Amino acid sequence: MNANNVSAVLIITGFMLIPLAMGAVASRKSLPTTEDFFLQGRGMGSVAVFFTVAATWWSSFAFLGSNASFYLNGPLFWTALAWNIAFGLMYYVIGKRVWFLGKRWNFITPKDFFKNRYGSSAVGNLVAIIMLVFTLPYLQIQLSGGAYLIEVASGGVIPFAWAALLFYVVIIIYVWSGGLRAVAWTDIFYGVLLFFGMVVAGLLIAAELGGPASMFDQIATARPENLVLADGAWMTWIAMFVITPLGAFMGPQLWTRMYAVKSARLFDLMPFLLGLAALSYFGSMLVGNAGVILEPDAAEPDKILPIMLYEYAPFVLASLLVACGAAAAMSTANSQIHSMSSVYTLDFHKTYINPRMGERQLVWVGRWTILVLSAIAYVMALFVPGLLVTVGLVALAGTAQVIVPTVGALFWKRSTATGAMAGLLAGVGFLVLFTFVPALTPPPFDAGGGGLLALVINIAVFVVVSLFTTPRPDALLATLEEDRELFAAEAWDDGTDGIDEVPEAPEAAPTTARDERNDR
Amino acid sequence: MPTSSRWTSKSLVIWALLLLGLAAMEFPGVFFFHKRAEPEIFGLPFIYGYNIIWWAYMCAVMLYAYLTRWGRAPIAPGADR
Repeated sequence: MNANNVSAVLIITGFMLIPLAMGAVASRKSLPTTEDFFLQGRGMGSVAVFFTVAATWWSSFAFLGSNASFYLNGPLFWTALAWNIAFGLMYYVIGKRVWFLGKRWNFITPKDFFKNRYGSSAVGNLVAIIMLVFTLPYLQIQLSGGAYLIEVASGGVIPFAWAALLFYVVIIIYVWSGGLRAVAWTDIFYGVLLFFGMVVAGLLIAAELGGPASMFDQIATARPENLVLADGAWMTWIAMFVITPLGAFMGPQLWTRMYAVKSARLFDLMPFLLGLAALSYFGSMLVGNAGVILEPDAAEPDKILPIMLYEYAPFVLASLLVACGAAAAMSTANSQIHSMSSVYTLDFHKTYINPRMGERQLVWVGRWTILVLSAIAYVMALFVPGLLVTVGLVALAGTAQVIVPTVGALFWKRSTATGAMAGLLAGVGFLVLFTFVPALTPPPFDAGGGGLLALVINIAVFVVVSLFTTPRPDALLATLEEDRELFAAEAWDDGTDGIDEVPEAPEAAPTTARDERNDR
Repeated sequence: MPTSSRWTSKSLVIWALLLLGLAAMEFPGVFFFHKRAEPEIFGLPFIYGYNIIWWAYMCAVMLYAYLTRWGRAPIAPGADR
């Protein structure tokens, strides 16, 4: 390892230590309660919400995987502009309703929502299991992405396994100490880094070729097929547009960020902010395309960004930008680990293993869960191969299945718990089948649309089974209707943009997460 | 002023504009123009420039939606919600 490699690793490590300090400060403000550790007391302000959502949303998938996709497949990843907007719109349409119900019924985990809306613990448990299982590979690619960066920065002296372990340790330390407050604070830091890092890296690399216009002229000569979409790419384009925002939105880390919001007005603004932030992909697009000319024979496309930065950018700037990539991985990984911990702790440990556990003990179980889940993701990073985008899309297609019972619960009175479970099992079952036996995916979905087809099957099964099974009880439907009326009347809105309070849920409501907790 | 999330003509127009934009970003480019690199837009191959224009349009509509509270109907103070 030469002096430059040592300096690069020190710069990246420095950026990883800043969040440790923030986590330590955040932990001083935290309370030893599950609501504070997992939801920051439902008092997260607008700036924190935007940056923690954006930083959680931008991951290794976006920062590194997008470069590799532009490098390999030309404009295919450009569908990201539309999926960012779709993601923002979902925050308004679905997120605001989930926030309202979460506040009214005191939900902490996604399972609470499904149990309350369908009157069925089984639906909630199935959703929780799907979220845990399919978030793990997405967590895996964050560790892989971070490890790639350190590996390249160190000139290969720090091998992949040790680099991933370094990431694993730092994430655990600060999520362990500060809960959601620590995660949100560090995400503000990471979010700013990420946005500017992606754009600056792109402009810097494209300047090596005389700017974007000149760069594309050179690609037109050297590899013209990289300027257009390949034949049959339309299915992957549309599947990515549907699956990516749905899968990310239905991840447990985004559910947490819906419950934790202080003011409903933020949901009105999020589509614009998230849509505007999609500009950052302009940087990835420039990097990936510049790689076609500058590094035409890269053996590992996921490393194209750090390789080119260290080759063509000033050293310190390259190290800073690589640290931004590390920020992308860290900010998503910390949020995922944190939310998966809350799902296990509250939905399974407290419910089925030790119902009498106190608040302090639960927080400790949450911390130990963080340790175990990250260890699993670390092992997967070492032994499960695949491009970041490929692994990420499978993971997102899994969590995307949850959108069906979510929309059913919010907008379709005739939906039933049996229909929700049947749809989820069918969707996940076919997704696993299409992933491990791709030859079974029928055309035109065989061109990258397996996850989309699984979602279509999920919807069909959900609708048909719901229509042929007994509707939810009248008492539950009456409660849902009352909630819907209160939401439509915006019962929290007093004309200010301050802290929004929603009407308390009735005491004698159907089975809910709140009842269960109060009973204990 | 407090609002109600019931539909109004303004909210319908906002959602129509948004759906138009999403459809324009996703379908024409990939079905009809996917083999075209020309004409260049802002110095970029066609599909890049085309989608950037629609992205800017969508951001403008979403900003307008925020400023008008997504077209939700205002409720007079003291009125029955």
